[in-house]
Amino acid sequence: MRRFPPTIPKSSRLLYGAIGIAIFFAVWWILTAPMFTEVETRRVAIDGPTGEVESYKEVRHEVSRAIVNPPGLETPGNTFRRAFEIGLPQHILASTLRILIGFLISVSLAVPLGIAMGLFPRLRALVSPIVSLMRPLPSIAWVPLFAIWFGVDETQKLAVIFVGSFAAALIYTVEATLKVDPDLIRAATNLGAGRRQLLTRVLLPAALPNILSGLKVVLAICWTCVISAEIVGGQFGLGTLIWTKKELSDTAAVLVGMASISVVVLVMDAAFTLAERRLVPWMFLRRGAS
Amino acid sequence: MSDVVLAARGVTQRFGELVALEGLDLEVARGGFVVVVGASGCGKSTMLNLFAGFDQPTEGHVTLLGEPVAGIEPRCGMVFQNYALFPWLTVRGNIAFGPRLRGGASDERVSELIRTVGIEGFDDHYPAQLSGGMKQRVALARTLANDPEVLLCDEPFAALDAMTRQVMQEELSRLAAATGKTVVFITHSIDEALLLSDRIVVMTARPGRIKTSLENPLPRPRSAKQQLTPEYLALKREIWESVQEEVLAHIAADA
Repeated sequence: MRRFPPTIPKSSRLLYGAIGIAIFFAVWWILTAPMFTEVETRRVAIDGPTGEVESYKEVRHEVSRAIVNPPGLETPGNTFRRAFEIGLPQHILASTLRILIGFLISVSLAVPLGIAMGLFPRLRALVSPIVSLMRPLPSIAWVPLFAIWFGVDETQKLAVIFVGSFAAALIYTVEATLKVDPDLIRAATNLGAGRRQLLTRVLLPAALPNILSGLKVVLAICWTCVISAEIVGGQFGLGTLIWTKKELSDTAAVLVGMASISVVVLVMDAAFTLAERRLVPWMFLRRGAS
Repeated sequence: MSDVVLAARGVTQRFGELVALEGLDLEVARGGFVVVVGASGCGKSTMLNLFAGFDQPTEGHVTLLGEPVAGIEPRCGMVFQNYALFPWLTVRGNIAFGPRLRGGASDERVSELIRTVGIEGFDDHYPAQLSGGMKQRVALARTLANDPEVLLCDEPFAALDAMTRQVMQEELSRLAAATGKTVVFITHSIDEALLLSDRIVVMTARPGRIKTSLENPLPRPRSAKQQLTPEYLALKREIWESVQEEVLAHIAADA
């Protein structure tokens, strides 16, 4: 092997990726396509005028055989059409807004507290046990409690997003703060920086890249939270959509809901990466580039 | 005595059980280039931290221009082995960091420093885009921007490849001569010490003290060619024997 790990050019990567996706849809299509038709011959009785069987007739009859029958799986075409019939934009908008608001509340509290915990070991020791207890709880475990407290309104959903993401955001921020190169602090101190200047001109920019990559993970966690929170109902939301359509055995709508969640998460992730490139451009540089 | 810029008198530094320095005495004359060599773990860096005011000695005192160093001392500018450049700032931003803390840096002054250390044309590059040698030039310029009394260099060229190191050694010699700065320079390399120093100080194994201090009579400007002269080799042997004893002592103490 010439190089390890072995790699291929980007154009080939894209080509193979496209082939992979094509195979996925092809398999889906084959599984649901009525292509395995059989010709059955049935004997049909022909009644005479008095009601008794007068004669028989052979009838040739085509029967389609999908490997997986609806409602087990919908065809790609039906699923695609269903996407335009179920008010998808409203559901996407509802979930996305919840996530953005919940994420911002969580982050605006977790980041300052996390930085403070990084700087003050006593505060860190004080808060860490509570966070350790909160962190292992999956977001769905909070859903019943908040359903009792808040019902099925927006508060309930934001609360689930908040508790589901706060501990992670906090831990990522603390780690990012502790990971700041001590020599940068020493260098800045040596150059005459006071405590306040150390915080604003060194610690924050030094910790920012790691805080951001942590928050990117937190944003994805927020999605699992909102889908859990929307199980209990409400009018709109992708979680509500897939759970209500499940009750109606509307496979196509459930699939559309799932695909939407996936696409919206990918889009948000890409948007976050763009924001990162603007906020911490120096992390995307390589030697020799300018 | 008036030309003593930096002095350590009877300095002992303990970290719990560990005695890093014990009864260290050192005087650094104005404009002098003192190179400190010693076995690893002999407290060289501990000494530099005391000079910069990062730590306070357990006993004894450190003085700068006759006054005790009581806290962080920006007049003793540090140059670090791993450069410690601010990755989010450009070359200009890094160099202007110190002056900006005190209200402002003139663009001309920054440009002048960029020329001084020979990194013209890289003003708007980020550290990630620079080679090790270039980074250390920026770090030197950043320290010089504060116009310190003393340059404290903590093995600044140890991470560079041999060729770059040699270029940087010559550059630093030139800079020190041109600016008249007092330099305290720590290294493992006896060749580096002989190339750079006015005076070479050998430290003992832990707890660190000054073992030998000798003037370096080699004529300047110095170059690699001198490394084959009998005078150079005799000096090198003298220092090597002095250091070797301490390295052996250090190994014995660790065993």
